[in-house]
Amino acid sequence: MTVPETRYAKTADGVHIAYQVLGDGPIDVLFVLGWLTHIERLWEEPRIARFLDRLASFSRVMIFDKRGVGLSDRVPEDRLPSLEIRMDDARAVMDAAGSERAVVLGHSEGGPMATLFAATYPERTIGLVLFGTGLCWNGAPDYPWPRYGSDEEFEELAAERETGWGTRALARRYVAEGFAPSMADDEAAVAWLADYMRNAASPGAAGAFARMNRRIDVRSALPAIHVPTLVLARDDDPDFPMEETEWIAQQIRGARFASYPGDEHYIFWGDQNVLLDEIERFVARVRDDEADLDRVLATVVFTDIVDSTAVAAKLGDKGWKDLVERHHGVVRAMLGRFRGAEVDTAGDGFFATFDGPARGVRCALAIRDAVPDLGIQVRAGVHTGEVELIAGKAGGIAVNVGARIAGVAAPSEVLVSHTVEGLVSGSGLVFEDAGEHELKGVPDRWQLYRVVG
Amino acid sequence: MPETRFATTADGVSLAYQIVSEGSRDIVLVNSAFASNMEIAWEFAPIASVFRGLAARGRLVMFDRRGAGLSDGVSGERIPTLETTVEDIRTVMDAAGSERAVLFGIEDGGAQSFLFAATYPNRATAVITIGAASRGEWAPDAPWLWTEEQWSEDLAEIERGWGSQGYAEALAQQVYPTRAADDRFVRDYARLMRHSLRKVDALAAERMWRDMDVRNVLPLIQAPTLVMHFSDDRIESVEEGRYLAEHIPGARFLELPGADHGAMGATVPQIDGFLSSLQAEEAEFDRVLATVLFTDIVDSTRRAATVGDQAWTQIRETHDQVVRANLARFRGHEIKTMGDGFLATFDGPVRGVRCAEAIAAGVEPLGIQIRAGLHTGEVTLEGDDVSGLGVAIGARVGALGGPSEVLVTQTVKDLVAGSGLTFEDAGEHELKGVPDRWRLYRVVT
Repeated sequence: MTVPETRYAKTADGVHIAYQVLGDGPIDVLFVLGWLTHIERLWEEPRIARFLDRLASFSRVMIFDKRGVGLSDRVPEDRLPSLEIRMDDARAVMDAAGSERAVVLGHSEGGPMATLFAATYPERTIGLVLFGTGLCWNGAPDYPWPRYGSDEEFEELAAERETGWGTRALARRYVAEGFAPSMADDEAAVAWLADYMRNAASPGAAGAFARMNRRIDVRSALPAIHVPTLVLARDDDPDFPMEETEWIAQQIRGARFASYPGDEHYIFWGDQNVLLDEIERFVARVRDDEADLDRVLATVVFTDIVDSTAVAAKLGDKGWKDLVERHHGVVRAMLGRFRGAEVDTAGDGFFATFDGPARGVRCALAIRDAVPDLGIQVRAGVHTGEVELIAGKAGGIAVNVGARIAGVAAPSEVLVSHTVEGLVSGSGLVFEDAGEHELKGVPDRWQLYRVVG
Repeated sequence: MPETRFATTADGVSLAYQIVSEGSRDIVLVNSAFASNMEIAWEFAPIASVFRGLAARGRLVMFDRRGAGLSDGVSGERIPTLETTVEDIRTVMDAAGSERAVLFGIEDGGAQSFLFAATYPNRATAVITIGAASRGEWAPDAPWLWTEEQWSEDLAEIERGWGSQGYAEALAQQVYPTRAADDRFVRDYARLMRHSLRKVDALAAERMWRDMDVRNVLPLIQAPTLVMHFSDDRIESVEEGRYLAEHIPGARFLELPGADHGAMGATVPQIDGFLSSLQAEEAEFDRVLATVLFTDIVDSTRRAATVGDQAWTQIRETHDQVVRANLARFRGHEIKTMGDGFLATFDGPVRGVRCAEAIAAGVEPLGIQIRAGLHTGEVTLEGDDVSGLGVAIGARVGALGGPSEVLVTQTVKDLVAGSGLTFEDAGEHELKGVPDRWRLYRVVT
């Protein structure tokens, strides 16, 4: 796979956030990477490239460098982004990528932001996936996993980082003590990490981020999470203990937790397939939920010109074309008046949806009454049911039913389903029984009604 | 007099407009160019009485057309075309926050209203005109229109006497024959003309009027239309009014006795019958199909007493957060909170049911339980609120639920067929204040 093009999303406060979109799967995944990143150098590590490729095989993945890091605009050290600002950055990326909602995948230091995002923006979060992460850097009496034993220890680490930033020696230590102890002898991985660190951030920025991150504590967001959640860990994660990640899962209602053998904290290293299998299953499940969520109740109206072939033959090509245009003009004007949404024209027919069934019926009547001036007649069918909106187009069984009902209508007849008849009670519309019908390709027999006034 | 405000068009012209009154129906007045200075027109009795009459019948929005009155001047050759005026009407409606409106077109304002209604069918609730025309110059099939010679004479009179007492008097004899002898009236009429258009602009407007022809858009107008015309109109023959009514689908024609041309206060009550028929139709337009969800905390008084005020406030706040987070996730719209409960609407019933289930499960850790009821039906939108029988049914169903129970009507159950949701029969019930007996179903998790 070639490295995807890097694009920039501009935030409300004018900062450019570098991002990439990978794959074109049916569901969006916002991958919040941890620590300091560089979305192009990431691809130079073959295990990471493989991981991203597979993730993008079943979803559309967005990755980004937070402000101050990697390819995004640098910001002064005293203006490094808080978690709130990072959420704004993430939303700017989603907006730029045309993503209304996404599964948010947070790894390591990306976990707290992902957690806060899911709690704060449920309307933009399909589901939450966490791997190898923690939510409270300093620890607390009921959160016994502080990241540093003492201030002195923090300062010692800071000094090492400042002097050794970007060296193989420091990278090797990070691999041995944080990323994946079992890979400490993998020279290629160590060399890549050293290089990656230098490109992701300067030593000053790295130090400033570390100081700021010490204040992270988003435990209070946990009860506010009401989206499907999957939490994963590795049994011997050296950076965030498995117990810590498991504790998070326990605090989120309905969250699923699983841990796998291994000492790799870095999500890309070690056995990535077990993690990806689990994520893929989760994504498939929430995608089904999402399909439900994309269904709206709508009234579908189908109209069709009666005997169009004969009329066309009589009028000739030019005359027919003119007539169809005038017919479309009349139908569109009626859709405007009755506030219908045109979905499709199929030759000489129209398919429109309405958010009120009585209006749909009245629109069909108005079209029926208007077109005889053009020397033609239409038949029309109306049904109300849940339709799936796919890229703004309505689909699903209810749509087929509407089309079939129009198909059995006589010239200048408006037929409706039992559902419509029941829903418009009180509207003053009058119906008469039009008998039971089989509708081709749709199960059951359907009681239909003719609109008589 | 109402405050005069300004709206800016896409091409940077400031249009003066006034929102004269409040009301449930928007009315946009498209006045004649000769009377296009709102502040002066308020002081001219026949026009002011039209303003007042319309203001009593809705939320009246009016404006001065570009190049006239209080709007930015665009002189002579740049006088607005019909199309420009149509866009200007839209700009004013946007600025006034008017989604759709009844257009009331006086004289030359009629053609603009016709074109607007044909161009933006979803923004014109209806069209009402008085003394309107669809074409300027004589044609074989419109022998009642002015000939080229008549137009030339008319333009020459404007050239000679625009804004003068003499011109106003001559014109008043045509337009307001019963008032032409009244000096004060004629003086005010002349003043309004002068403040509306400068001579060069009056000439340009009149020439455009002569060349105008909107006959081909008349059949495209789908909005309910009322055409009014005085039977002895001396400027625009009543034949033209009849022509309009015949060519606009379904238009009503109202021939008024008299020899006036434009609108006067007395003409406004003539529209009441038409407006009330509109109202019936509009009431239906504001009805949408929605799934309503009512939730309520079970036994809240007792719970509150047990845990104490402070703890209860905390529980209530968390409960509200749980509800709102789930409404966001399942794309519900919070309508209002009612006591300890919520009223929300959904555009898909499956989502409403799943949301109710999620809320019921989500509040249990707080040591409380909710009851929830759902119904799908047509509801009436009233600003941010909803009303109607569909809402009342939802409320009754909600009240019948047991702890952590989600009850739905037969309608909901039928509509979600195929969604994988399962239900069990919860028996037939009377719903207070709602006719019939209702079969309800319990959602089985």
